[in-house]
Amino acid sequence: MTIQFRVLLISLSTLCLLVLISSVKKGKLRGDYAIGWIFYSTALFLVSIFPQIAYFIARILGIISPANIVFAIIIFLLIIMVYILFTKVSWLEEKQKDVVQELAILKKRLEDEKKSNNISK
Amino acid sequence: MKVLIIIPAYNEEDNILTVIEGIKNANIKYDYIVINDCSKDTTGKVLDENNINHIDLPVNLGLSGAVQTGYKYAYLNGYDKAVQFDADGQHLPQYIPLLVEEIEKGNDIVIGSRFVDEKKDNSLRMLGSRIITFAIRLTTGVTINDPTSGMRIINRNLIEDYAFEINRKPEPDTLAFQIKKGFKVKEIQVKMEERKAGESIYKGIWSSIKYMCKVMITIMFFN
Repeated sequence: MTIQFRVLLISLSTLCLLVLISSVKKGKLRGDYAIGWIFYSTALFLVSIFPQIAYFIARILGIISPANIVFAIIIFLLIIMVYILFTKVSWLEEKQKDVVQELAILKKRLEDEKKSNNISK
Repeated sequence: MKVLIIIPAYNEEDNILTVIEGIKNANIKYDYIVINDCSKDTTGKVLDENNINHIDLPVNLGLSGAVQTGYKYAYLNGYDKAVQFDADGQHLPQYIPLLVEEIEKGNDIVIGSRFVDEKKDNSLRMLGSRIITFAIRLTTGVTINDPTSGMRIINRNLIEDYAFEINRKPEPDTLAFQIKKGFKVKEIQVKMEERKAGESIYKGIWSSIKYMCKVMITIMFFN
Protein backbone atom coordinates (compact mmCIF):
# COMPACT_ATOMS: atom_id res chain seq x y z
CA MET A 1 0.00 0.00 0.00
CA THR A 2 1.36 3.40 -0.91
CA ILE A 3 1.86 6.01 1.74
CA GLN A 4 -0.73 8.24 0.07
CA PHE A 5 -3.36 5.52 0.33
CA ARG A 6 -2.46 4.97 3.98
CA VAL A 7 -2.79 8.66 4.75
CA LEU A 8 -6.18 8.69 3.04
CA LEU A 9 -7.33 5.66 5.06
CA ILE A 10 -6.06 7.08 8.33
CA SER A 11 -7.78 10.42 7.82
CA LEU A 12 -11.04 8.83 6.67
CA SER A 13 -11.25 6.39 9.57
CA THR A 14 -10.35 9.12 12.06
CA LEU A 15 -13.04 11.37 10.60
CA CYS A 16 -15.51 8.49 10.73
CA LEU A 17 -14.72 7.88 14.41
CA LEU A 18 -15.05 11.56 15.29
CA VAL A 19 -18.40 11.92 13.50
CA LEU A 20 -19.68 8.77 15.24
CA ILE A 21 -18.64 9.89 18.71
CA SER A 22 -20.06 13.35 18.28
CA SER A 23 -23.41 12.12 16.94
CA VAL A 24 -23.80 9.71 19.85
CA LYS A 25 -22.97 12.53 22.26
CA LYS A 26 -25.43 14.87 20.55
CA GLY A 27 -28.11 12.22 20.75
CA LYS A 28 -28.45 11.78 17.00
CA LEU A 29 -27.46 8.10 17.07
CA ARG A 30 -28.15 5.45 19.67
CA GLY A 31 -25.03 4.05 21.30
CA ASP A 32 -25.78 0.40 20.54
CA TYR A 33 -26.16 1.24 16.86
CA ALA A 34 -22.79 3.00 16.84
CA ILE A 35 -20.87 0.00 18.19
CA GLY A 36 -20.66 -1.78 14.82
CA TRP A 37 -19.40 1.36 13.19
CA ILE A 38 -16.85 1.95 15.95
CA PHE A 39 -15.37 -1.51 15.35
CA TYR A 40 -15.43 -0.89 11.65
CA SER A 41 -13.55 2.38 11.68
CA THR A 42 -11.11 1.16 14.34
CA ALA A 43 -10.27 -1.83 12.16
CA LEU A 44 -9.73 0.46 9.18
CA PHE A 45 -7.52 2.70 11.32
CA LEU A 46 -5.42 -0.26 12.50
CA VAL A 47 -4.95 -1.57 8.96
CA SER A 48 -3.76 1.81 7.73
CA ILE A 49 -1.30 2.17 10.65
CA PHE A 50 -0.06 -1.43 10.37
CA PRO A 51 -0.41 -2.39 6.69
CA GLN A 52 1.40 -5.63 7.58
CA ILE A 53 -2.06 -6.96 8.53
CA ALA A 54 -3.29 -6.40 4.98
CA TYR A 55 -0.07 -7.89 3.53
CA PHE A 56 -0.49 -10.94 5.70
CA ILE A 57 -4.12 -11.59 4.72
CA ALA A 58 -3.32 -10.92 1.06
CA ARG A 59 -0.51 -13.48 1.15
CA ILE A 60 -2.76 -16.13 2.74
CA LEU A 61 -5.52 -15.58 0.18
CA GLY A 62 -3.09 -15.26 -2.73
CA ILE A 63 -4.11 -11.73 -3.65
CA ILE A 64 -1.35 -9.69 -5.25
CA SER A 65 -2.30 -6.16 -4.17
CA PRO A 66 -2.95 -5.68 -0.44
CA ALA A 67 -5.10 -2.64 -1.27
CA ASN A 68 -7.58 -5.01 -2.87
CA ILE A 69 -7.94 -6.96 0.34
CA VAL A 70 -8.77 -3.70 2.13
CA PHE A 71 -11.47 -2.93 -0.46
CA ALA A 72 -12.84 -6.47 -0.29
CA ILE A 73 -13.15 -6.33 3.50
CA ILE A 74 -14.78 -2.91 3.37
CA ILE A 75 -17.35 -4.10 0.82
CA PHE A 76 -18.02 -7.29 2.77
CA LEU A 77 -18.61 -5.39 6.01
CA LEU A 78 -20.85 -2.90 4.20
CA ILE A 79 -22.99 -5.75 2.86
CA ILE A 80 -23.39 -7.11 6.38
CA MET A 81 -24.35 -3.67 7.69
CA VAL A 82 -26.92 -3.13 4.92
CA TYR A 83 -28.37 -6.56 5.62
CA ILE A 84 -28.74 -5.77 9.31
CA LEU A 85 -30.35 -2.48 8.33
CA PHE A 86 -32.87 -4.29 6.06
CA THR A 87 -33.89 -6.67 8.84
CA LYS A 88 -34.25 -3.74 11.22
CA VAL A 89 -36.38 -1.78 8.75
CA SER A 90 -38.75 -4.67 8.05
CA TRP A 91 -39.04 -5.38 11.76
CA LEU A 92 -39.76 -1.70 12.40
CA GLU A 93 -42.36 -1.51 9.66
CA GLU A 94 -44.06 -4.62 11.02
CA LYS A 95 -44.20 -3.22 14.56
CA GLN A 96 -45.40 0.14 13.34
CA LYS A 97 -48.17 -1.57 11.36
CA ASP A 98 -49.21 -3.56 14.46
CA VAL A 99 -49.39 -0.37 16.51
CA VAL A 100 -51.47 1.43 13.86
CA GLN A 101 -53.92 -1.49 13.65
CA GLU A 102 -54.20 -1.80 17.41
CA LEU A 103 -54.84 1.94 17.68
CA ALA A 104 -57.53 1.85 14.98
CA ILE A 105 -59.30 -1.08 16.64
CA LEU A 106 -59.16 0.62 20.06
CA LYS A 107 -60.54 3.84 18.60
CA LYS A 108 -63.36 1.87 17.04
CA ARG A 109 -64.17 0.20 20.37
CA LEU A 110 -64.14 3.57 22.12
CA GLU A 111 -66.58 5.04 19.61
CA ASP A 112 -68.86 1.99 19.87
CA GLU A 113 -68.96 2.39 23.64
CA LYS A 114 -69.68 6.10 23.33
CA LYS A 115 -72.57 5.33 20.98
CA SER A 116 -74.08 2.67 23.22
CA ASN A 117 -73.75 5.01 26.22
CA ASN A 118 -75.67 7.70 24.35
CA ILE A 119 -78.44 5.27 23.53
CA SER A 120 -78.76 4.03 27.12
CA LYS A 121 -78.94 7.62 28.40
CA MET B 1 -71.33 -19.38 14.53
CA LYS B 2 -70.26 -15.84 13.75
CA VAL B 3 -69.19 -14.70 10.30
CA LEU B 4 -67.55 -11.36 9.60
CA ILE B 5 -67.34 -9.75 6.18
CA ILE B 6 -64.17 -7.66 5.92
CA ILE B 7 -64.31 -4.91 3.31
CA PRO B 8 -61.01 -3.07 2.81
CA ALA B 9 -61.64 0.30 1.16
CA TYR B 10 -59.24 2.87 -0.25
CA ASN B 11 -60.78 5.84 -2.10
CA GLU B 12 -64.10 4.11 -2.74
CA GLU B 13 -66.55 6.95 -2.05
CA ASP B 14 -68.54 6.10 -5.21
CA ASN B 15 -68.81 2.36 -4.59
CA ILE B 16 -68.93 1.74 -0.88
CA LEU B 17 -72.59 2.60 -0.31
CA THR B 18 -73.75 0.39 -3.18
CA VAL B 19 -71.66 -2.48 -1.84
CA ILE B 20 -73.09 -2.13 1.67
CA GLU B 21 -76.63 -1.81 0.29
CA GLY B 22 -76.00 -4.97 -1.73
CA ILE B 23 -74.94 -6.87 1.39
CA LYS B 24 -78.00 -5.64 3.32
CA ASN B 25 -80.37 -6.45 0.46
CA ALA B 26 -78.90 -9.89 -0.11
CA ASN B 27 -80.57 -10.76 3.16
CA ILE B 28 -77.57 -12.36 4.79
CA LYS B 29 -77.30 -12.15 8.53
CA TYR B 30 -73.53 -11.80 8.77
CA ASP B 31 -71.79 -8.81 10.32
CA TYR B 32 -69.61 -6.67 8.14
CA ILE B 33 -66.85 -4.18 8.79
CA VAL B 34 -65.32 -1.68 6.40
CA ILE B 35 -61.64 -0.90 6.89
CA ASN B 36 -61.05 2.61 5.63
CA ASP B 37 -57.35 2.59 4.77
CA CYS B 38 -56.86 6.33 5.33
CA SER B 39 -58.65 7.22 2.08
CA LYS B 40 -57.84 10.58 0.55
CA ASP B 41 -61.39 11.13 -0.70
CA THR B 42 -64.61 11.33 1.34
CA THR B 43 -64.93 7.59 2.01
CA GLY B 44 -64.54 8.20 5.76
CA LYS B 45 -67.27 10.84 5.77
CA VAL B 46 -69.64 8.63 3.77
CA LEU B 47 -69.08 5.82 6.27
CA ASP B 48 -69.68 8.09 9.26
CA GLU B 49 -72.82 9.72 7.86
CA ASN B 50 -74.47 6.46 6.91
CA ASN B 51 -73.63 4.79 10.19
CA ILE B 52 -71.73 1.97 8.56
CA ASN B 53 -69.72 -0.24 10.90
CA HIS B 54 -66.14 0.69 10.12
CA ILE B 55 -62.57 1.16 11.33
CA ASP B 56 -60.54 4.18 10.25
CA LEU B 57 -56.83 3.51 9.93
CA PRO B 58 -54.89 6.64 10.93
CA VAL B 59 -52.09 5.77 8.47
CA ASN B 60 -52.31 4.20 5.03
CA LEU B 61 -51.17 0.59 5.43
CA GLY B 62 -51.94 -0.79 1.97
CA LEU B 63 -54.33 -3.59 1.09
CA SER B 64 -52.66 -6.30 3.15
CA GLY B 65 -52.41 -4.11 6.25
CA ALA B 66 -56.06 -3.12 5.93
CA VAL B 67 -57.29 -6.69 5.51
CA GLN B 68 -55.13 -7.79 8.41
CA THR B 69 -56.78 -5.13 10.59
CA GLY B 70 -60.07 -6.83 9.75
CA TYR B 71 -58.68 -10.22 10.75
CA LYS B 72 -57.41 -8.78 14.04
CA TYR B 73 -60.85 -7.30 14.70
CA ALA B 74 -62.45 -10.65 13.82
CA TYR B 75 -60.08 -12.50 16.16
CA LEU B 76 -60.57 -10.08 19.07
CA ASN B 77 -64.35 -10.19 18.71
CA GLY B 78 -64.57 -13.96 18.56
CA TYR B 79 -65.65 -14.49 14.96
CA ASP B 80 -65.34 -18.03 13.62
CA LYS B 81 -65.11 -17.18 9.95
CA ALA B 82 -64.01 -14.14 8.03
CA VAL B 83 -64.77 -13.27 4.43
CA GLN B 84 -62.62 -10.85 2.48
CA PHE B 85 -64.83 -8.81 0.19
CA ASP B 86 -63.92 -6.04 -2.26
CA ALA B 87 -65.33 -2.54 -1.85
CA ASP B 88 -65.38 -1.80 -5.58
CA GLY B 89 -68.56 -3.71 -6.41
CA GLN B 90 -66.79 -6.60 -8.16
CA HIS B 91 -67.92 -9.21 -5.68
CA LEU B 92 -71.55 -10.23 -5.38
CA PRO B 93 -72.88 -10.76 -1.85
CA GLN B 94 -75.30 -13.55 -2.80
CA TYR B 95 -72.30 -15.89 -3.07
CA ILE B 96 -71.19 -15.39 0.53
CA PRO B 97 -73.60 -18.02 1.96
CA LEU B 98 -72.18 -20.52 -0.55
CA LEU B 99 -68.66 -19.79 0.73
CA VAL B 100 -69.84 -20.22 4.32
CA GLU B 101 -71.52 -23.50 3.43
CA GLU B 102 -68.30 -24.88 1.96
CA ILE B 103 -66.22 -23.87 4.94
CA GLU B 104 -68.66 -25.60 7.26
CA LYS B 105 -67.92 -28.81 5.39
CA GLY B 106 -64.42 -28.68 6.86
CA ASN B 107 -62.40 -26.65 4.39
CA ASP B 108 -59.95 -24.11 5.80
CA ILE B 109 -59.98 -21.64 2.91
CA VAL B 110 -62.72 -21.29 0.31
CA ILE B 111 -62.12 -19.07 -2.70
CA GLY B 112 -64.81 -17.45 -4.79
CA SER B 113 -63.36 -18.30 -8.16
CA ARG B 114 -64.23 -17.04 -11.62
CA PHE B 115 -62.66 -19.99 -13.41
CA VAL B 116 -63.84 -23.29 -11.97
CA ASP B 117 -66.29 -23.94 -14.79
CA GLU B 118 -65.43 -21.08 -17.08
CA LYS B 119 -62.31 -20.56 -19.15
CA LYS B 120 -59.84 -17.72 -18.81
CA ASP B 121 -59.62 -15.29 -21.70
CA ASN B 122 -56.35 -14.43 -23.40
CA SER B 123 -55.66 -11.02 -21.86
CA LEU B 124 -52.35 -10.09 -20.25
CA ARG B 125 -53.98 -10.17 -16.83
CA MET B 126 -55.07 -13.76 -17.37
CA LEU B 127 -51.59 -14.68 -18.55
CA GLY B 128 -50.41 -13.54 -15.12
CA SER B 129 -53.13 -15.60 -13.49
CA ARG B 130 -52.10 -18.67 -15.53
CA ILE B 131 -48.46 -18.28 -14.52
CA ILE B 132 -49.40 -18.11 -10.83
CA THR B 133 -51.71 -21.13 -11.16
CA PHE B 134 -48.85 -23.04 -12.79
CA ALA B 135 -46.36 -22.02 -10.09
CA ILE B 136 -48.74 -23.11 -7.33
CA ARG B 137 -49.34 -26.45 -9.04
CA LEU B 138 -45.61 -26.93 -9.47
CA THR B 139 -44.80 -26.31 -5.80
CA THR B 140 -47.86 -27.84 -4.11
CA GLY B 141 -49.49 -30.14 -6.67
CA VAL B 142 -52.83 -28.42 -6.14
CA THR B 143 -54.59 -26.51 -8.93
CA ILE B 144 -56.03 -23.16 -7.96
CA ASN B 145 -57.86 -21.82 -11.00
CA ASP B 146 -58.29 -18.27 -9.76
CA PRO B 147 -55.43 -17.57 -7.34
CA THR B 148 -55.75 -13.78 -7.55
CA SER B 149 -59.41 -13.72 -6.54
CA GLY B 150 -59.88 -11.36 -3.60
CA MET B 151 -63.03 -13.12 -2.44
CA ARG B 152 -62.14 -15.72 0.13
CA ILE B 153 -63.30 -17.03 3.45
CA ILE B 154 -61.10 -18.50 6.16
CA ASN B 155 -61.87 -20.25 9.43
CA ARG B 156 -60.89 -19.44 12.99
CA ASN B 157 -57.46 -21.15 12.94
CA LEU B 158 -56.39 -19.16 9.96
CA ILE B 159 -57.90 -15.93 11.24
CA GLU B 160 -55.41 -16.03 14.10
CA ASP B 161 -52.60 -16.89 11.70
CA TYR B 162 -53.44 -14.12 9.24
CA ALA B 163 -53.98 -11.61 12.04
CA PHE B 164 -50.68 -11.97 13.85
CA GLU B 165 -48.05 -13.72 11.72
CA ILE B 166 -45.59 -11.78 9.61
CA ASN B 167 -45.62 -12.59 5.85
CA ARG B 168 -49.32 -13.47 5.61
CA LYS B 169 -50.43 -11.05 2.94
CA PRO B 170 -53.82 -11.85 1.42
CA GLU B 171 -52.15 -12.88 -1.84
CA PRO B 172 -51.72 -16.07 -3.91
CA ASP B 173 -48.28 -16.74 -2.42
CA THR B 174 -49.77 -17.07 1.05
CA LEU B 175 -52.36 -19.43 -0.40
CA ALA B 176 -49.59 -21.68 -1.72
CA PHE B 177 -47.91 -21.55 1.68
CA GLN B 178 -51.09 -22.62 3.47
CA ILE B 179 -51.66 -25.49 1.03
CA LYS B 180 -48.13 -26.68 1.73
CA LYS B 181 -48.79 -26.59 5.45
CA GLY B 182 -51.72 -28.93 4.88
CA PHE B 183 -54.71 -26.61 5.01
CA LYS B 184 -57.61 -27.55 2.77
CA VAL B 185 -58.39 -25.06 0.04
CA LYS B 186 -61.50 -25.24 -2.09
CA GLU B 187 -62.75 -23.12 -4.97
CA ILE B 188 -66.35 -22.51 -5.91
CA GLN B 189 -67.60 -20.87 -9.06
CA VAL B 190 -68.86 -17.31 -8.62
CA LYS B 191 -69.73 -14.51 -10.98
CA MET B 192 -67.92 -11.20 -10.68
CA GLU B 193 -68.80 -7.77 -11.98
CA GLU B 194 -66.52 -5.16 -13.45
CA ARG B 195 -65.41 -2.39 -11.08
CA LYS B 196 -68.20 0.19 -11.04
CA ALA B 197 -66.31 3.44 -10.40
CA GLY B 198 -63.00 4.70 -9.07
CA GLU B 199 -59.59 3.19 -9.64
CA SER B 200 -57.94 -0.10 -8.81
CA ILE B 201 -54.77 0.03 -6.72
CA TYR B 202 -53.26 -2.40 -9.27
CA LYS B 203 -53.32 -0.17 -12.28
CA GLY B 204 -50.73 0.12 -15.00
CA ILE B 205 -48.23 -2.34 -16.39
CA TRP B 206 -45.50 -1.46 -13.90
CA SER B 207 -47.49 -2.33 -10.80
CA SER B 208 -48.57 -5.59 -12.49
CA ILE B 209 -44.94 -6.50 -13.16
CA LYS B 210 -44.03 -5.69 -9.56
CA TYR B 211 -46.95 -7.77 -8.31
CA MET B 212 -45.97 -10.77 -10.44
CA CYS B 213 -42.33 -10.60 -9.34
CA LYS B 214 -43.32 -10.44 -5.69
CA VAL B 215 -45.73 -13.36 -5.92
CA MET B 216 -43.47 -15.58 -8.01
CA ILE B 217 -40.36 -14.99 -5.91
CA THR B 218 -42.29 -15.66 -2.71
CA ILE B 219 -43.79 -18.88 -4.07
CA MET B 220 -40.44 -20.14 -5.30
CA PHE B 221 -38.11 -19.11 -2.51
CA PHE B 222 -39.92 -18.41 0.74
CA ASN B 223 -42.67 -21.00 0.94
